[in-house]
Amino acid sequence: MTDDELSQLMRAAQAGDAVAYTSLLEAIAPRIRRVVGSQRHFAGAQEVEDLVQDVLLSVHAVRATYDPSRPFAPWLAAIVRNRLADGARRYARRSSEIAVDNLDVTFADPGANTSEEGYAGAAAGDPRPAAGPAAGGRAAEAAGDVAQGGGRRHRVEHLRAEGGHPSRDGLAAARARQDT
Amino acid sequence: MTPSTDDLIRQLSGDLAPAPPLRRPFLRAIAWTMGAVIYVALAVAWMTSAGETANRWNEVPFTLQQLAALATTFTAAAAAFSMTMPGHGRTALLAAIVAAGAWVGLVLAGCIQDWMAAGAAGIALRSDWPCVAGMLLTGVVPGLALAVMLRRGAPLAPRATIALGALGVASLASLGMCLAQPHERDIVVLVWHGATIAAVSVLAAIAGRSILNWQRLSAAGAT
Repeated sequence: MTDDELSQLMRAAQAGDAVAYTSLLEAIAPRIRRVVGSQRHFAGAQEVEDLVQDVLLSVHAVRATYDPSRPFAPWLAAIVRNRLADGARRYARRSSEIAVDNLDVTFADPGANTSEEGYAGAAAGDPRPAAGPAAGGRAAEAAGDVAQGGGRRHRVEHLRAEGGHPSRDGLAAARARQDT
Repeated sequence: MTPSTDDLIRQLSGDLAPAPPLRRPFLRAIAWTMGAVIYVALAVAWMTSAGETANRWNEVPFTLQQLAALATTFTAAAAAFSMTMPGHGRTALLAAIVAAGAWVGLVLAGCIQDWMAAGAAGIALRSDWPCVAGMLLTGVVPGLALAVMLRRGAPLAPRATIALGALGVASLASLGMCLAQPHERDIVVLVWHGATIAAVSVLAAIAGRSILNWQRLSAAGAT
């Protein structure tokens, strides 16, 4: 389908023609999929499809910004580029969350999780370990969770709900233990 | 479970409502600037007597500065609108940079003239909090109107878009304050008005993603 044909379909869609809009979206979906696939070699099929749908939703949301007197392809390309950049930012944020994996390595070691630490606090009626502030306590709790094989996402959400930072608090707790 | 892309297309087409194309950024900037100028003119008329402002229009440097401020207002608004239109170039942004540069240059030239005419006293700085407050209050209504208009576009560069909008609003508010409370020395305009415009633009840029974002548009489009 040529750019002129796509432009005509979009013009009809802006006037409320649902059939033309279906044709337009069906025509551009494979093009978007190709672009996303070429830009995201490492992404799985589901992730590519999520990005394609993201772009289609964005096209739908801002269809009024298309100027019928201008070519269609640059308009679509600008949206795809922008949504891909957003997707990359989201991916980077998710990747940084995976840093919590280090907790397994750091705290699953029996030497780093002595039973005395856990019981000392519990006996005094204080949920925090003797050596650490509140943040260290939360990390120690998470570390114990790791040792017991608890779910990683649950632990991260638990730390976040309490205002902590998984990797930072985990390191603080580790340093506290080394000092004691 | 995530719907398939075909399901999504059917859903989007099924709920399709007419979406007439937005007018071109240039035309929308004209419409907003005209409305904002009328509003600021009314605000200035309310704040000051006509005689004070009329006298200053006879001064060429003053008039040129205000024209440059108005050009900055219009071009910054046009650039902000242009940034919400996918596929549009950056010509309007360049025009806004040129207009803002010319405005700063004219005010700087005025400072130099004041210095040559009166020496150190010509660039002696005094506080001007009333102007800052006046600029902020004057800019509220045009700023809200511009934000509403910008939110109809695509949030391609939210921070830059909102910062440009804030530059447009603040430069018009500065123009209004220069008319309402004429300054003897341009150094006051350069420092106090300049700092206010810079602060407003930076704060607006920080708030950009809260004002313009895809999540809000997607949610609105889905309903």
